[in-house]
Amino acid sequence: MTTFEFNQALEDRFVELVEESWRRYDDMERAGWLDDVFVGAVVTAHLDAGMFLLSADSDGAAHYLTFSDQERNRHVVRVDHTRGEDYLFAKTVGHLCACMFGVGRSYPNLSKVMAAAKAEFKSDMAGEGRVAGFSDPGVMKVDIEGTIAVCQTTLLLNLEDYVNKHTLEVDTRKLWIHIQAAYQSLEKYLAGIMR
Amino acid sequence: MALLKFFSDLSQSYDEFKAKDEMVFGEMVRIFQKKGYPCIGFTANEGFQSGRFLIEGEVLFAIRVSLDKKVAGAGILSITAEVRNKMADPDDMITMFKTDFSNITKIPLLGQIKVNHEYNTIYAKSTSVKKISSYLESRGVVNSAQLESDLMEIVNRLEETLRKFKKA
Repeated sequence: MTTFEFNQALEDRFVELVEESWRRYDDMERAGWLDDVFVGAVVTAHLDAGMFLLSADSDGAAHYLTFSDQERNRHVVRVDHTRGEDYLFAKTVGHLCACMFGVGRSYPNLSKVMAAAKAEFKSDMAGEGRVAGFSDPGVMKVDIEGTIAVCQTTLLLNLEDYVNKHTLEVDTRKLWIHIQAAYQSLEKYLAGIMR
Repeated sequence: MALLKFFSDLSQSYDEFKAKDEMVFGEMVRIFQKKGYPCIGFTANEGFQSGRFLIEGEVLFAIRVSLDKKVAGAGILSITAEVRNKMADPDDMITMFKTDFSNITKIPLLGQIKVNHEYNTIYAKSTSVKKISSYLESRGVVNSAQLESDLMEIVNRLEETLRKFKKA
């Protein structure tokens, strides 16, 4: 029969190993949260600006959010973090995220709707997903839904520029300034082609 | 052109009518974000939204809030609170095995709260039927104070239920 001889030093070592394992486990778990923290901050920033959430969809690869303001203008954000959720990718390349921003305006005017449809047809000529599955950044595309023309563009963001990966705190001010910058350029482009 | 505007406004009004649950859920995200509980899980489809929020408090590790829209403006609000015990010492594990682990069969329900006991994580879930539209004051404007009060009342009850399971 084997006798069990207890060695406190070995048990202490085991406890240390488990504690180190928990730290690594936490690090991996937190890496997978960054995109959701970013989405929460995007929702909060839009609501703080007086908008409300009109629709929200998740398809496993991305979160698609549509906001509306009291003037019935639409703002669209699509957050695709499939690459950055990979722990190795996030550790080496960064928490890269393809973020599509869109601005929608209603044009209850047949000639404007036709102009938007023409712009949508031209948008199909833009290249897509040529590098690591990411769309060409900054390309303005137009999508027409009924009488609403949505002008959208994709930016490749590093989530760590906005979310502290240790504390999960968000630089909300910086995030909103960057979102506003994208919306302003989209509005300018949309107004220009619909003139 | 007037007809096109009429149909355009009608379409927007219909979208807003369908989006009452999204409006309320968006406000929930903002409420927890402002309380310092970041969103660490987000899932949404038409008629169902769910968010997980990190608490890392004295008792609770995180909560999950789900809003499932049903008929006539009513919805099911589910809140699941979780306690996480990151055990490393074998003595603690033995104690837990002898006491808490036996609770798996003993405590399926505590009042209206369902407790699910896993090894390191214990969940307490509360489900209630809510009139989603009652939180809306006007177009897209949510009664944030009332919503926060209702949410925190449930979260506090769940926290008290789970307090005894939290290891120091």
